[in-house]
Amino acid sequence: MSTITLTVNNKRHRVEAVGNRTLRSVLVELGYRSVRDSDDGEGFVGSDTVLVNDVPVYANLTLAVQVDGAEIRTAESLGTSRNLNAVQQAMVDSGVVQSAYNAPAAALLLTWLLEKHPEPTREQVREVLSGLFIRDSGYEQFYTAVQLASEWMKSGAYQSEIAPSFRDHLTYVGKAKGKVDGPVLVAGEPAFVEDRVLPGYYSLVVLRSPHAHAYIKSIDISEALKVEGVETIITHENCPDVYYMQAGQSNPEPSPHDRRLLNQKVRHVGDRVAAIVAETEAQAIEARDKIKVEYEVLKPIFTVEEAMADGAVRIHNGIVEYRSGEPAGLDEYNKDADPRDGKVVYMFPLHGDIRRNIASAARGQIGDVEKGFADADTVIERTYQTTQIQCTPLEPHICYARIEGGRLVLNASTQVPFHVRRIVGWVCEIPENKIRVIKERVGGGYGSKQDVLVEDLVGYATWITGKPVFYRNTREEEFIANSTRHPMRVTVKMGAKKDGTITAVEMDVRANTGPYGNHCLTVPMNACSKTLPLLAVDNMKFQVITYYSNIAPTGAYQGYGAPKGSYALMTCMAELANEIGVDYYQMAMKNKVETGYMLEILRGLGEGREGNVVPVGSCGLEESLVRGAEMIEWGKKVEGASGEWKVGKGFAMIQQGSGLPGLDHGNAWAKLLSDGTFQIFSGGADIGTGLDTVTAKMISEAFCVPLDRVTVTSGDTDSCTFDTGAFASSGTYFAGGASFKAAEDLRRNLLSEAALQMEEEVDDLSLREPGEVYSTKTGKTLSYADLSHTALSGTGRGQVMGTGSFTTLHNSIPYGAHFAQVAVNTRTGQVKVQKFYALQDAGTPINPELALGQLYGAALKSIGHTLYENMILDGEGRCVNANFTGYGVPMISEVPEDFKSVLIDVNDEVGPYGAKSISEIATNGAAPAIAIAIFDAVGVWMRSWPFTPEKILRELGKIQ
Amino acid sequence: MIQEYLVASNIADALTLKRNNARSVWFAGGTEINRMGGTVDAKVGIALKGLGLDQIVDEGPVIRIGAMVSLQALIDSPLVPQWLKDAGHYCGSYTRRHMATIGGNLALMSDHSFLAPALLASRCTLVTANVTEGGAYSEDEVPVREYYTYYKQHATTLLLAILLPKDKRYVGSRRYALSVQNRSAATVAFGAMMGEALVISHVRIVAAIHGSGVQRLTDVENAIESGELSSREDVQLAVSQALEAVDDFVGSREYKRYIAAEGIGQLFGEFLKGGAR
Repeated sequence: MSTITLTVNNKRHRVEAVGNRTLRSVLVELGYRSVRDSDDGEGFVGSDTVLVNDVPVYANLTLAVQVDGAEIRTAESLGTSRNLNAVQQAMVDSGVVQSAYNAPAAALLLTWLLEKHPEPTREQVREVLSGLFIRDSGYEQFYTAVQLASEWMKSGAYQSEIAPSFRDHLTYVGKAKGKVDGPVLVAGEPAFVEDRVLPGYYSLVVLRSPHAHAYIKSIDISEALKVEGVETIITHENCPDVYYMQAGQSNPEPSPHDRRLLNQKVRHVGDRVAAIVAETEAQAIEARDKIKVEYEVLKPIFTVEEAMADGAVRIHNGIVEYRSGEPAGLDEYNKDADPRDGKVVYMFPLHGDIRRNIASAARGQIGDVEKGFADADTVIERTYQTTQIQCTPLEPHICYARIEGGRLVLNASTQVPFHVRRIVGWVCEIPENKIRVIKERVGGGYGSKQDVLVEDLVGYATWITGKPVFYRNTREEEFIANSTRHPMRVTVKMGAKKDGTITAVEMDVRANTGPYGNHCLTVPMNACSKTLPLLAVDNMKFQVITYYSNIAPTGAYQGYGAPKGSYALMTCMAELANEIGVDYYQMAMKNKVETGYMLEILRGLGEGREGNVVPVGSCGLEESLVRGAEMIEWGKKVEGASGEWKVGKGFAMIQQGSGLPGLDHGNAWAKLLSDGTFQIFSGGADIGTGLDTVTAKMISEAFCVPLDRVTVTSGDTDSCTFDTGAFASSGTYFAGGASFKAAEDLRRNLLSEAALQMEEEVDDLSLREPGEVYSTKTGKTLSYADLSHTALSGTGRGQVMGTGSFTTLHNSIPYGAHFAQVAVNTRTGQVKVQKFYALQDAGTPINPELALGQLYGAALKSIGHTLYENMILDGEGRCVNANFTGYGVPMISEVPEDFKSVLIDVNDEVGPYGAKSISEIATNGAAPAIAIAIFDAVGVWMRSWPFTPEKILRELGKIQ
Repeated sequence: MIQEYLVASNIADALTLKRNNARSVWFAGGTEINRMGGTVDAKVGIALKGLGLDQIVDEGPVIRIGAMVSLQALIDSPLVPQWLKDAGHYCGSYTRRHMATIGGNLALMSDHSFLAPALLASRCTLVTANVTEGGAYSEDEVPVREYYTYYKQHATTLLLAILLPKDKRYVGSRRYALSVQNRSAATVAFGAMMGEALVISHVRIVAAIHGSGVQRLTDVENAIESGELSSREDVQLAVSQALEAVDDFVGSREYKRYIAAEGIGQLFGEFLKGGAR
């Protein structure tokens, strides 16, 4: 032990520092909580960036003893949420502060840069940010933020445009007004789960399986229980006999309930074997190391092909049950079940057959596909393969739970607080009124926090021990015990006439769900339901089959199944265009849907039930195509920088949904406070995307009051009303729709109350700035504050409130087109994305600056999936690149040289103020656009992502 | 993981601390020692900070670069040749470049080293310090090739500085990875001098191949110097045959050999065009 002295933000501290104590741990203990950890000290993500003697360093990669005597600067030195510095404010204004887990680090670095270079170049910005991993908003808007900050520091005003503005008649909607929770996030103030943990908590650690497939023959925890401080150890022998699934979906779920909290059979490397709760993490780890487990190791399988094979080992071989729609012959089917495998319980038939490793299956068609192929002049069939991709949220999965007033309270980083409550209730076997889930700010989810991956275990551990319990995934656990993108094999058969008219399409999707069936029906269905409706083709057919295997778990990931389906369908269409000698752009224009086209294909594409057939509503697809083609100069050949560099262009039509019509549900309520300000409670879960800002704008717009007169409370199951959660691009449309309706209801009630108080007719009253009711007939005014005061006086009629509930059968589909220009090196296989233009119709972008950030972030994410990212398992099922450096996420160095996002202005007829969704759709374009561009450049079709240099060299025949 | 961090008061003190502490390592920037999944297994770190090893000095015939000079300082210095700045940029993170040092990166001699191939190709000289059991302090100038050959035996030797000769010599390197900060499949370097009558001499060919370590291809070097190999294609073929590589998550054996050979071929071609720089 040695004592060191350090000066942090001009304040001197003396601290004890053992040899291996990191600078970050010291800083956090001293209260500098903005210094966060995303990589367990890998020195990659940069959430732990601080300045030491005016030089940026990773605090988690620095020993405290290394900085004895040093001057340290953290983001707390910049400004508070109530008094941001110019850089912090510009970051909020520009839209880069989204999930924001390392936004304070970015603010620190950029402030430091601007102090040295008041007008930095793009290259300098790029350099300084090169040690930060930004997953949510991409990097492009950081240049805007720096420009804005530079302008502000020089002249006290912004000269540059932040983002385009929409709907001139509206004041808040369609305008860049900053994110309401942005200041707290960029300042690094308490906002995340880890900030809520109180002293005295117990630590939970998990013993994980070293085997991909094995029965636990015996587990001996006797020595582990003797370790001082150990409170409990949960194993398959003492956990509740409750089968459930971790997908936070609609209820009943279209996913099989195929797991317990812990199972006798482990099905992937990293599967839970035991959970240890102890007073300290060190004690829990010591106990974990003393647990003796004897395994009966089974042969693992990792691919769809292995799972499909005759006689393949069964991943689930337990009893099958149905809660409804039980098929005939189930007793016979269950005769050779192995009780060690537990159960698989279907809420309703998903056409699974676990004895053949099939978790679910579906099929459907419109028209006569065989006739369509017969009518075609050319028919091709191609198979495309996608790999397993990690969501990599900067804040890992984390949960803190405690007992308060006899109830279980969970602080969670989740996209689905109400599903967390339901599923934890099942596991703990307690009713929902005994549980409160508080969704904190979410430091990145991207789908993986739609799944209840840690809250089930933490909630149960807390409930049985009565102790406050804290758990946080390590980064390795994020890779091996988390939700990932399903690997898929998608075969597309497509026929067309010589003029490019497509006569028939058939998609066959084989998905690999891994050990458990989270989203096993809906993700592969989505590969069809979010792609086939792009085409105005009369004959279409699809089949999806999802297989169990022993890869790391899969689940929801932004875009869901659509990125895979889009990659296959669009690339196949380009291949067909090439075969018949038609320009691919012309073929797209000829076969795309347009407003009014009846989407018959949707009938077979419901999520476990019949889908709703609706016509195409608002649609910016054609404008996206036309403008994108102009921007990229489609058809104009570009020469490479040298003979070995070849340049090509590609694009893809894309679509997604705006939530799930007939399944999703948003609720909100709002009240007028006694001083004339407002509070709105939304069930929606803001995961960094700006949903709370959307919610606030619904009130601001309706009542003509600025955003700071509106407080949003969201994601708290006690105070907020039910919402299905932030997934399937539902936030703005469903939760926002509910807030819109709550605001309208509140407006009606407020006007009604005002009419009584003012002795006027409601029809003569309107609302206006700065927050008052105005009579167009008499000119009388009544401030909201006076109105509320009167209503709340002893003789008043009570608090003015409003509620809103939003459901719809309407499909407000966002459309778009992504264009890419790539340079391919024929000697090295290297691909450079020179240009990437993402054009999308989001209806009315309520927060245009955040919408652009969503678009940039999702597009860059999909570029990463296309070119770099891939979880690689060895022959035993161990992920050999379970860290950032080995895995390969795109950083600022990988941002396309010319990267543009364009919001196509189309007003939707149903969404709040004409809004549709924005972010998920943007993950669908890169893979096909880049694959097609690579073909245009060097003449090879890339039918397996990621398109690594090695694969390109193989296609080029440079290596065998 | 380091359990104890010892701060030396001077170089001799550092050497004594090293000699007296089993399982100790030199602690430069700490980016590998402290890193999650780092390859250094040691209990005691001997800190090199504050020993004056962070200077870059023009000493006439050589540029002297202290072992504790950070990769970013290399890039920022007007004294450092471009080929070494290029290699410094292979570390894609600006923040990490401020922490990692030239000495630390060279001493690791890892299969994904940013600098080792280029430094080996440069024929630089290393200034090292030792202390005997009796306490006698000595400094030596060691050719980098010798350090490479015996670097494990140099574990107790303290690397003080790198001396870059100002000879008219070509040095170039290439790094191949999926993305800038992804683990590299191959980092290769080529160095040579072009004499009168286009005689090629002092050739160095080095490749850090993931999974197979840093390799110097002396047979290929000799064949180029003797004129046996004179075209880019011939050199590429010889390199691909000489390299050791294995299949792993970064790439197949075949890919690594191909891409490393391609890189060295490019550098050789560039050398033939430009002669020296």
